[in-house]
Amino acid sequence: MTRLLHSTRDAQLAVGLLVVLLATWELLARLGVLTPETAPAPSVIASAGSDLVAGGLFFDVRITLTYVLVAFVLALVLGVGLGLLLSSWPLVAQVSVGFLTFLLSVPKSLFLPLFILVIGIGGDQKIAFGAFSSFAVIVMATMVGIASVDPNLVAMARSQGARRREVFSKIYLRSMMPTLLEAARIAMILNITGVLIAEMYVSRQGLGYLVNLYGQTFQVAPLLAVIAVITVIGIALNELLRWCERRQDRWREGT
Amino acid sequence: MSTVDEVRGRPVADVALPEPERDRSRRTLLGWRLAVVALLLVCWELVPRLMSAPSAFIVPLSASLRAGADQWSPIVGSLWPTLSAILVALVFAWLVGIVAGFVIGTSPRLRFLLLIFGALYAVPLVVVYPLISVWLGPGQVSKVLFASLYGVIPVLLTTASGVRSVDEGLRRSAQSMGASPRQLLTKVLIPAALPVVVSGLRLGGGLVLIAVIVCEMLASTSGGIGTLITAYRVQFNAGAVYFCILVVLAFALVMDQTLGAIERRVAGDAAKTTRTQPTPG
Amino acid sequence: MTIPQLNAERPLTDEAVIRVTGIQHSYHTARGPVPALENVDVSAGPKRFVSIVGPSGCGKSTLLMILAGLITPTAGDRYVAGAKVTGPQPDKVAVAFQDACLLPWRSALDNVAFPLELRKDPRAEREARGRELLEKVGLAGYADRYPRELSGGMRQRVAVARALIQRPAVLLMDEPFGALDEQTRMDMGEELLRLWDEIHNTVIFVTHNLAEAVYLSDEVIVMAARPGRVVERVLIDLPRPRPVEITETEKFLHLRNRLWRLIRSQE
Repeated sequence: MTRLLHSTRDAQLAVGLLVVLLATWELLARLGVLTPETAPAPSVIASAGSDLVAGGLFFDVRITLTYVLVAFVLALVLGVGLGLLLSSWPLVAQVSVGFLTFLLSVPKSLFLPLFILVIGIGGDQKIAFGAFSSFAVIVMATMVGIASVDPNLVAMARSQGARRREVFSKIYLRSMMPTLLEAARIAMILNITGVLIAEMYVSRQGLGYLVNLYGQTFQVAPLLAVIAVITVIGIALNELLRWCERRQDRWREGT
Repeated sequence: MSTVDEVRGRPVADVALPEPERDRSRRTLLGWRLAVVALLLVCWELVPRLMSAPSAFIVPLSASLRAGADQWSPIVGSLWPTLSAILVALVFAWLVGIVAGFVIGTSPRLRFLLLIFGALYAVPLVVVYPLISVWLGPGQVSKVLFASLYGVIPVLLTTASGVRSVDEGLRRSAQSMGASPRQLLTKVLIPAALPVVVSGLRLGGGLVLIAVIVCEMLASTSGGIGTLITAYRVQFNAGAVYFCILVVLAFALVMDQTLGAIERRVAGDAAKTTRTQPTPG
Repeated sequence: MTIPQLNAERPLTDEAVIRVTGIQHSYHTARGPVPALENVDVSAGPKRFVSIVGPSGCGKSTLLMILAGLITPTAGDRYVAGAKVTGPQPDKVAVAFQDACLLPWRSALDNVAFPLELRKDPRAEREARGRELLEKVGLAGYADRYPRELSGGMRQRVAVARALIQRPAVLLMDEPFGALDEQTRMDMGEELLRLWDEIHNTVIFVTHNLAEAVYLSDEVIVMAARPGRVVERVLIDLPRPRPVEITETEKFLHLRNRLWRLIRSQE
C-alpha cells in the first residue's frame, strides 16, 4: 500500500519536473536565449507537429508501426520455436546459449548491410531486420523459461494423466509465461529500434526516414516533433505490454 | 531430491556440478562452440560457391579475406576513430552513470528520477542522433556524446538499484558502530553494491559499442569502421563489408569477454554469469 | 504383549489393490550407478492405510514415485487392481506430493478441479465437484484464493482435495505434512483420518515421523538405507476410530518405540 502511494507520488514528481523543464525551455526560447534554428520553443515544435499531421504524418506512423508489429510477431513465433527446439537437447542448449549471449551484446546494426545485400531495401528488409534485432532475446528467454519449470509440477500433472501436449500447454507454457511476457516487452523495444535504424539507414518512408530527412536538412522543429511522436509510441507500447505482464501476474508475489 | 531426475526439464546452465566436473564440462562446451564456429565458417566458404550467388551480394569466406587484405590500409586507418570514440564514451558513461546512480540511489528525494530514466529505456534513442549531429556536427564529438548518452542509462539504473538494494541492516549496524558518512560510503555502500554496479558497467559498455557503430553507419562523414562498412556497401564490395563486420565482431567479443571476466572476478564465483538484460540496437 | 507380525516374504494375495514386486532401482551419476532400491516388494490390500517409514536416503520417496508410475524402476513389476501397468493410472491412483505442488497461477478451486479438466469433464461438473471437495477439507470460503494467499496447511489441504477428486482406489502420499509445524501436522493427521473414514480407499503414506505413522496406519513398512530395502512390516492393531488421546496410551507408545528400535538397529 505504501509502495503504491510512493510510486504515485514519484510519478507526480516526475511529471512535474518535465512540465517545469518544458516551461523553462519555452521561456528561454521566447527571451531569445536559445536560437530558434537549433532549439525551437516547445510551442514552435508543437505547431510543426500539427503541420506534419496535416501533411500526412500518420501515413508514416502506420508504415513504421506495421513493420514493428509484423517483426514482433515474427520474432516471437520463430524465437519461441527455436528456443523450444534448442532446449530439446541439453548439449545443444548449453552450446547455443554462448552464441545467443554474444549475439545480445553485439551491434545488430552491423548486419544491416547484409540484410540490404540479400533482401534489398524494401519493407521486407525493415521487417526482417526488426525481427532479427529481438530474435536472440526471445530464444534466450524461451530457454531460460523452460529450464525454470518446476519438475515437481510436471510429475504432478503426469500422475493425473496429463498427456505430453497437455503437460506442455498447461504446465510448461503457463510457467514460462512471465518470462516470455517480459522478454516480449524488451523485444518490442528492440523491434522498434531495429525498424527505425533500418529506416534511417535506407528508406523513402516511415518515421525513421523522416528523422533522417529532417536531420540532414537541419529542420530541427519537425525533427523534434517526430522524435516526440516516436517517444510516445515507444512508451505507449512498453506500458501496454507491461500492463499485460501485470494482468497475468496477479498470482505472483510482490508485483 | 533424486525423484525428479526422470521428469525434470532440461537444465540450460551448468549449475551445481562439483568443481572438477564443471571445469571439464566447461572445456567440452568450449570445444563444441569452436566446432560450431568452424562449421559456420566452412558453410560460409562452401554455400556461396555451390549457390553461385552474384558476387555483389554473397561471397565466400576466402573472397572476404582477400577483399580485407586489399583494403587493409583504409580499414586499419578507420579503427582509430572508432576505438577512441568508444574509449572516451565508455569513460563518460561509466563515470556519469556511477556518480548519478549513487546520488539518486542514496537520496529518497531524488528517487522519482529513476522513473524518468526507466521510461527512457523504452524510447528508441537512436532517433536522437540526427538531432545531436545537427547541434554538434557529425564528427567525433557528437559520436561520443550520443554513445555516452546511450550507455549511461543502464549504468545509472543498475548503480541506483545496487545501492538501494544494500541491506538496511548492514547500513544500520555500520552506523551503530560509529561509521562516518564517508566510511559508510567507502566501507559499506560501495563494496556491497559493487557486483551489481559492475554488471551495469558491462551492459553500458556493450551499448557504447553499439551506439558508436550505429552513428558511424548512419552518418557518412562521421568516420570510423561503421562509415567504411556503409561505403563498401554502396560500392557493392560485399567481401569488404563482411570483412569489416568480422573485425567489429572480433572486437565486440574481446570487449565483452574482458568486461565479463572483470564482472566475474568482482562478483565472485557465486554470481550468475548469464545476462538477462539485453541491449537495444 | 505380542504384536502380530507380517512376514515381508509372505506370498502376495491377489487381493492387493496395488503392489510392486522385485523392485530394483539405481541412479546414474558421473561415478556410475548408485543402487537406491534393492529387491523391494510392497503391497496394500483394499481399504488399508499403509505407511512407509525409514531414515532419509532409504528410497521411500523413490518407491512411492515408482508406485505412482512416475519412475520406471531398473527392474521389477507394478500391478494395479491385478493388472500389470507401466505408467500413471489417474483413474485409479492419485498422488499427493511433498510440497503440495499446486499450480501457482490457478485458484484453489481450479487446482482442485485440474484432474477433471485433464479428463475433459464439463466445466459445470468440475466446479461443483471442486467446491464439494474444498468444503470437505474445510476450505469452502477459499475457492478463489491463489496458492500464495494460503498457509502451508491450507495448501496441503487443497492438494489432498485435488487427489481425492479423482476418486482414486489408491491414494499415495509423499510426506504430505512434512513441511508443516507440529501442531498443524497433528490437526492434519486427525482430519485425514476423518476424511479417510468417509472415503475408505487404500492409502500408502510416506513419512519420517513415527508417531504420525502409528497414529494413521493399519500397517507400517520399515525401510533401511544403503541400499534401500524393506526391513519389516509392523501391524498396527489399534482400534478405530482413533481419538488424538490414543497417542498417549501405552500400546501406542510401545508400537512407536518398536519402530524406533527397528530403524535404529539398521544404522
